[in-house]
Amino acid sequence: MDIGSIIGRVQRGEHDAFASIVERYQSPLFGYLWRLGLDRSRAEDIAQETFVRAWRGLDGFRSERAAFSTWLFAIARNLAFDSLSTSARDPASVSVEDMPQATDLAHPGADPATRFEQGREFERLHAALRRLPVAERGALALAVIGGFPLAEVARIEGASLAAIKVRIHRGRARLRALLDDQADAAHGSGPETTEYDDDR
Amino acid sequence: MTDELDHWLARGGHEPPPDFVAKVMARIEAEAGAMATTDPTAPAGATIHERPRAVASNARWADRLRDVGTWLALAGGGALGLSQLLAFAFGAWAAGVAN
Repeated sequence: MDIGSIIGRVQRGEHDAFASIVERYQSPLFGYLWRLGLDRSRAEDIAQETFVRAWRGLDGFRSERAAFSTWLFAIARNLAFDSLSTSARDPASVSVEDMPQATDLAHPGADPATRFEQGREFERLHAALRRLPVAERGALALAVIGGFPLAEVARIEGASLAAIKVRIHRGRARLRALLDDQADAAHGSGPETTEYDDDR
Repeated sequence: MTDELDHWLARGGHEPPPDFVAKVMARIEAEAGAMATTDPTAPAGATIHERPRAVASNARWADRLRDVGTWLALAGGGALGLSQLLAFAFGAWAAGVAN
């Protein structure tokens, strides 16, 4: 069933139909929140709040103005950025227990050794993503990973197309540099030195 | 954008917990129930599962009907007043002509 029909059913009062929307978008949304650098429990809280707010505001949603996914991810983006700015002011609010374990992130079908190695790679990637400026992280998460067209990324981020292109280009370059630093540090060739301000 | 970095970016991520959909729907049910029981426009027999959005939609229609009724009454009253005025003017003119 297409998303327009499901939204129509929810708007006509069949709120059980909203479960199909949650099922369809939960994985992309969790993926997006992970790539924004959020830990598991905060990602779950924000994903829940995103869906509840979407349900509340569904009467006001107009498909001719924006795609549903754009609208949903814009809600998630605003909630996530609020949460990230709060944790930037209060780093103690992020607990070590909330961090994903290496093997949690790896492919579930792989053997234990491969899962551990994959999990370590994902941990490195997540650590590097968390050190990117939030604006670049957001654009990268939506465009490179979420598969949104750049025009939609610009709408979600509330920025111009040119600014989004710059953020993605810079974000990729910084991410590469951060990962190279991590690899160098892991091989004992020097400390991690690349550091960026966590601005919007 | 097909290098190793993109490969890792595309694959990593939290998986939603298995009961995530149920949790979200439980919150929505609870919120819908709370809104239905506190909404003064809800009909007396409304059940806890009745969607408040449907109730709000009915209320909007009632408001629209009331607005249309108000405008019709104003237009009807205006037309009646105008016809009375015209009748008076015609009567005065007829009386003047007769004299």
